[in-house]
Amino acid sequence: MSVSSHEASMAEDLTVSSEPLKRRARRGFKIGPQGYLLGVFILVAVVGSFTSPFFFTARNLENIAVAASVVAVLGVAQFIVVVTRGIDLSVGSVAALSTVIAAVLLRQGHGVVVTVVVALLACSFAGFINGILVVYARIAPFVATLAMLSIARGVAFLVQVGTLIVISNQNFLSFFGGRTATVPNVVLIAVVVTLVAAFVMRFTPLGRRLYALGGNPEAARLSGLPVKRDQVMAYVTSGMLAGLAGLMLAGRLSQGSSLVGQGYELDSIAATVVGGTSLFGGTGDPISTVLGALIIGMIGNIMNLAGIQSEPQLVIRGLVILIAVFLTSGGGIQRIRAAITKLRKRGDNAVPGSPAPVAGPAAPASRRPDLNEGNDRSPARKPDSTEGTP
Amino acid sequence: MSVDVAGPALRVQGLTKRYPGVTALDGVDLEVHAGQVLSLSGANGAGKSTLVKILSGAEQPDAGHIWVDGTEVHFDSPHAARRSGIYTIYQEMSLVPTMSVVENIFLDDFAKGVFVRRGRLEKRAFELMERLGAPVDVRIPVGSLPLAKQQLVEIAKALKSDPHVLLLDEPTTTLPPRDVGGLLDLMRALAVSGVGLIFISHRLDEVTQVCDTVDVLRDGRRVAHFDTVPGAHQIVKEMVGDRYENSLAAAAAEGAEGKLGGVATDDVVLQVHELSDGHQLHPVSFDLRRGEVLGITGLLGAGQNELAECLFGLREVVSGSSTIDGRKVRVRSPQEAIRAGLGLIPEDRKSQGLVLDMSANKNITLASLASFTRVGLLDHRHEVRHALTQVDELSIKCSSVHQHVRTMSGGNQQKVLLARWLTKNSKVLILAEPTRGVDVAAKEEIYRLIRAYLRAGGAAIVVTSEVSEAALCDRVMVLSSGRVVAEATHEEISSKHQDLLTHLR
Repeated sequence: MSVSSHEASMAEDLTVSSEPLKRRARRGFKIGPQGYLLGVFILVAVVGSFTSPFFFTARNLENIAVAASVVAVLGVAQFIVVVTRGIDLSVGSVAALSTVIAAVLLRQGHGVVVTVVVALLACSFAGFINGILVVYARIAPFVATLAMLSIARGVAFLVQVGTLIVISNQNFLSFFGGRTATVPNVVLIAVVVTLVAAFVMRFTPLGRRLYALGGNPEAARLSGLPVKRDQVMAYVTSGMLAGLAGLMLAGRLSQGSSLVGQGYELDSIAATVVGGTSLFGGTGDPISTVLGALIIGMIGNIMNLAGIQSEPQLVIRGLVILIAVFLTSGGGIQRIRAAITKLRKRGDNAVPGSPAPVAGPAAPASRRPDLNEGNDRSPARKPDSTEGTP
Repeated sequence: MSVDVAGPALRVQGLTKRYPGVTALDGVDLEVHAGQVLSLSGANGAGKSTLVKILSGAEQPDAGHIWVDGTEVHFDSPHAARRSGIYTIYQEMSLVPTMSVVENIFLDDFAKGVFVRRGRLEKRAFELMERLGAPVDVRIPVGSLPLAKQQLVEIAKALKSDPHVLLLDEPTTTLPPRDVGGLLDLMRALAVSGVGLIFISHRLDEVTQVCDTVDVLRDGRRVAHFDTVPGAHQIVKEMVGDRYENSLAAAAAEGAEGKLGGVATDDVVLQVHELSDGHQLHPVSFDLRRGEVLGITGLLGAGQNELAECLFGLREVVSGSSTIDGRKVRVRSPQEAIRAGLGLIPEDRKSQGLVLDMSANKNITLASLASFTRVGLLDHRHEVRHALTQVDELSIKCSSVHQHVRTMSGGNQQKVLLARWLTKNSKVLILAEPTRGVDVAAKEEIYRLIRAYLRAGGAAIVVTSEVSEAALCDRVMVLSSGRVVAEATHEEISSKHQDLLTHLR
């Protein structure tokens, strides 16, 4: 099992005097899931540059970044719920609700600040309902947020009355559609959201509690952590970020519509899992999730540049997601390596009279054999293995 | 069943398995004859589980030979191992709880063929269960059967294929105590019917009760072979080697005198008055002094776990009160319990105690995040520095404090949990079955830690189903049907702990 990604990035420089202490304070250097993720990222970029000379132009890279920024924010929203062992299928619908609320308020002549605050509060409230349903009504996250997916889009439709509402407030449009120092504002928003989320997950007690809660809810509860409150918090945050993503969409499209953001829940989940987060909770980090969103965005862009039709694009995208998850979940590389070793070993044994191989390197080096005797289950009876991300 | 009377049912010679950096098995020989029960004993890390993995086909040895009924066998998968005649039954059962008994027994047969002749299978399943002394309705889901019966289904699954050798890896650990005797009797009966059995258990009384021969592993080697069953203390001696002297665990194994506490003061820390959940626990009162360890014991469901849950806020208390350091406390949740100065080391450290995919240092600080927070942010350096001192103090073996606890051994995981409460400065520690499933050496280590905690001014409550363990405490309370039926000090019980046993019902 490799170091979980949020840890791999840490590199503490400790100034502890005693030597054995120093040794134990040091982290072993290993390529964690983030390493593979970066590898995949670079690989995709290289493929892109070969596909089209247009790929590495500022204009195209900006296109990718702008398109990925909404998915990135939704991915961070998704991550915060997934890390607690949950899932939020309502992010796309809540984003649509946000566009409609914003459009209605702006049409009524409210200012940008009021509009943004009200839209975010309404979406946070949707998230709050999700949290209450999951934590107190004990409805499985999948089901509770599936219901919210339907409800939020329905409410958006009822509120908008008609097909869509055009946004003409120039302040709103220039805030969410404009640029600051040549960088599109939506990209800046996505970057800020990502960095804040990464900071919270790593440096605040809340972040630590969310990891613990996802890693082992019972242990978190017996350690006196406010498990229920934190879980609700995760859904509220997810709702709020979905609302923000909705505002970004509204600014880009200059409209509020109950039809936008369809399928974004799946994009956000894809970004999360490609980013190496286990759907079983307790692992992953926001930056990896956003890298995941970028990888998916780049692939779409490359296929567009290559002139691939949209139907085959879907197939390719699905395959690439599977491959990326296979590699980033950490188990993939090890499994391939083990399989190669096994094949080679079998080949050796086939030669008559050849000496038996001395040490079987088939076992991953990080696993210390036999120290946890009686607890360690052999692979054959390890149904709860968390090595593979589904 | 075909039994080759002349040779052993299973012969293993020179079995060696090396992992990078460790030799887990080093030329191990062993023999099991049909009709015999062999005990395989050894401390954690002695090589038992590697041997089990090899004999069950999960891993392949680097060197050595295995014969079943005189024929040399090679296998590279659990399925192949079964075909060779060796069937392994694991501590954690591999049954599908929602499927019926018959479906579970013939699960692997469903892999082949299209049609299933249900009537015939049901008849065979019933015959197998009947042979094991449990004529249950084979059409009901396995999950609705009690644990002991589920285990019989597991054994029926093994017997279906007429194994020559049956390997039982800690089959009694998950069983309620009252069902253990039945399983041991069954093992004898299976031996008589001509199967060779290998039995692995941490409980030495079971080993001496059921086995014909005993092999002891230590550091990957077979260090002792007993043709007749030795005393428990002899087995322990071989298991731990020269660490045996003055061992409390050995004392517990022999039922001899030994003391865990002995540093009790007169200063009352915890006062429990008429505590009750109005249901399974009748009003219970007791005092706990600084430096004292109180053992609470009883049969399964006697109320000792309920008492612990009431104290820690996991179970609703309807009457009674607790006082900690003279201050009345209301405990309605673990959060409040911890704030009041209590700590709990749960029975199942993996599923209830530890966040396995978190590092040791994060697990250690989990209950005291507030004291590692400065201006709203976690102080990682402080955390790591603190974890390092704990690792040193408790001699936790880990490659670094950033090592995930999943990859640590059971004893060290237990220490990480203890470090969590030491960090929190808990005044009273509740330990539920602290030594279940750990070997003698780790047991000793855990006792040493409890003692160190008491010396440092803590007080502890040990909830245990093992009378001999409770007898090590300063004071023992015996519960039965939710009532305290006996209470005794260490001095009163150490010489005659049979007296305590009479209260257990």
